[in-house]
Amino acid sequence: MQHLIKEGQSLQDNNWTLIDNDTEVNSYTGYLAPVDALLSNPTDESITAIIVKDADDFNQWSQHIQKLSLIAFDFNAFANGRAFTFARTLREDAGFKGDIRALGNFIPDQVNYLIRSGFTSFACRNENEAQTALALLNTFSVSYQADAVESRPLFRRR
Amino acid sequence: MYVYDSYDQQLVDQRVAQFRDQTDRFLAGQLAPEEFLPLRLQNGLYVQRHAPMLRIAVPYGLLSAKQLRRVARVSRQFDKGYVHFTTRQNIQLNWPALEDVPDILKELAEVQMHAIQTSGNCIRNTTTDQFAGVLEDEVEDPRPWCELIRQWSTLHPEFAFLPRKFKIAVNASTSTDRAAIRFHDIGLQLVKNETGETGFQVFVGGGLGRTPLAGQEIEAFLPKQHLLTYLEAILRVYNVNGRRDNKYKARIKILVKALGMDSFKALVLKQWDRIKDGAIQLTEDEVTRVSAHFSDPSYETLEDATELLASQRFEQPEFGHWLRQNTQAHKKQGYAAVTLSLKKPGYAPGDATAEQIEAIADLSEHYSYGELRVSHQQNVILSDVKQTELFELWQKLKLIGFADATVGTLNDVICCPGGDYCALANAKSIPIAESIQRKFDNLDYLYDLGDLDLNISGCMNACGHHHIGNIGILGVDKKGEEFYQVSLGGDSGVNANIGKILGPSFKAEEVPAVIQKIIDVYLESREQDESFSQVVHRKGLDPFKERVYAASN
Repeated sequence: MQHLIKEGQSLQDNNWTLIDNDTEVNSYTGYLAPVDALLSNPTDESITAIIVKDADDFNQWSQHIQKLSLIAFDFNAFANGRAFTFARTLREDAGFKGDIRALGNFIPDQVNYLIRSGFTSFACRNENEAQTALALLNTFSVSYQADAVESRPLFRRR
Repeated sequence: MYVYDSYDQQLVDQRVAQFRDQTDRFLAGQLAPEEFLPLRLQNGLYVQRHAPMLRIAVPYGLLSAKQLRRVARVSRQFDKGYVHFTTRQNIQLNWPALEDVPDILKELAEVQMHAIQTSGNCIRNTTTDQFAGVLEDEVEDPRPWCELIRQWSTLHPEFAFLPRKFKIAVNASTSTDRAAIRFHDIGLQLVKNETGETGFQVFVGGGLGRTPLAGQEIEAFLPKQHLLTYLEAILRVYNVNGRRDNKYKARIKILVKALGMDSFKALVLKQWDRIKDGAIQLTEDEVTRVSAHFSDPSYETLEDATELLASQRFEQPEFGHWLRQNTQAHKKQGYAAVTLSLKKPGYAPGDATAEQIEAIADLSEHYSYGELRVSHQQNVILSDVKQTELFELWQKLKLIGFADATVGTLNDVICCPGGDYCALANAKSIPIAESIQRKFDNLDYLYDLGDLDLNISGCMNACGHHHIGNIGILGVDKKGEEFYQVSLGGDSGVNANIGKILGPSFKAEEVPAVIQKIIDVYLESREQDESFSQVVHRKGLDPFKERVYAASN
């Protein structure tokens, strides 16, 4: 079971099942499809959710996100901050309105920055971390920058 | 200087609360050491050889007497009663206990100070010329731009987990570069275009460490309102494309070198084009708001005290030396900027006791509007002293040991904490600095040598900036023994240059004699007013090598 947070709350339901690259399925309905599946068949209507690994080429797969409702970034290491920029790019440049989820080895202390970068849900590693992440959501009530949540930097709001 | 409003204060206060919670969770075993690591680093907390080390941010080197007194109090209450001024204009405490750090940060927040992003793989403290705002030849005051960068980079959600650390420096002088901008990830030179508008010449990809490189120009003129959009574009390109597989190849300089400037710039422009006219483009109102914090103090209308100083110099030649070496011309008639030398044989370069910094705080209030600056050379500056009060100030500085008239000389050594304190170091650096300072203790001799930067680092991380010292010394480890490699001809200024390695390294006890031989070659070779670097440039390394490695050794 995943320990999911969305919109500031714990979520028990998880509609998506993980699948590895080698498993073949007839339909991806209910699965988080690998990026390779999307790339090899971009018109596959059953793919509505993908899981992105660090090795996947953002410039390539981000061309095919129109029908997706969920993009999950699988953090290989929490110190790898590329997905922060990818999420912001998806929101601000590609206009992606669906759910952007953090998965894998991110840590609760990053959730605040992840939200500000455009992430909307978090599959934590365990219930303890999910509770910590929820407790840390409101660490900051002010920020200098424009971000995915607040479109104006502080200097335009001051 | 910049004074916090309720937003700035709230942010720093909330940061303290955040770090207190993180420390509590770490101590309770709920946060793994490897996960606490980047979180504490982003609050300036290293774990070092003997104890944690806390690096306190001094934004672009500027602080008030009140802030300095608080640092003194903190160092006395939570540490051993002394502090270290760093080459990036910050202040370090060398022995705080981890459990005390949240309380230290709270004490600092009360005087608008913090340790945010003074370490870790994020955007670090922005640095600039220690004489910013008082120089005659400035395009304009760089400090408002530094503050704008500080606010943009502070707790930036997207750039907290970069491939590696990221340093930005700003220079505004048209003739010198005391901020070494060409050796930063991004260097910004304030310039004016043909129509008189202010903007930035932007350099990218400079740095020291294992692969020392001077930054290359990416923009000849960036209009000022685009400063933050352009920085954001560069950081995005770096965050996505910078290497994460090898920490020694992770700085932006490696990316710029690998892609080539044209390809790198194309990526930046693609990003920039999307955001340049968006919400983070600077507004005139914001630039005006921040600039207002850096308006001139209430200077008196004075004449230069030329005659008075001449007679004081005549009566006290020692004062004359100090005046020449340790004071700087000021944009305002009748004023001077004074450098307090924190270099003294027997003391680690850049170290000062709580009592000393309290005395400095008092002097700054009496003589210089209660403001101080920390320099890249690890000295402290009082920037607005009346010329008529210089003699009195000099006498008081002598009493607390900060009047050594050695600023800019061979003895004004830049030096990292080295193997005495730092867990990364291969070799000690402070004893090397001391042995050189003791060997060259004749002031007339030092003055005859002229300005000469000698920089010492205890390892390849190059915190002592050895690559860009006219003479650079690098500590290396050879089968468990400490050796020192010497390089010549480095230059941190407008003629940005990486020094060249002289040859095989030396034992610690050989270093002072080696430096003497190098100096001898310089003195024998120089023509008229030729500087050390000019001689190295003209003659090459060969004459120096021949002397230093002569068989008669």
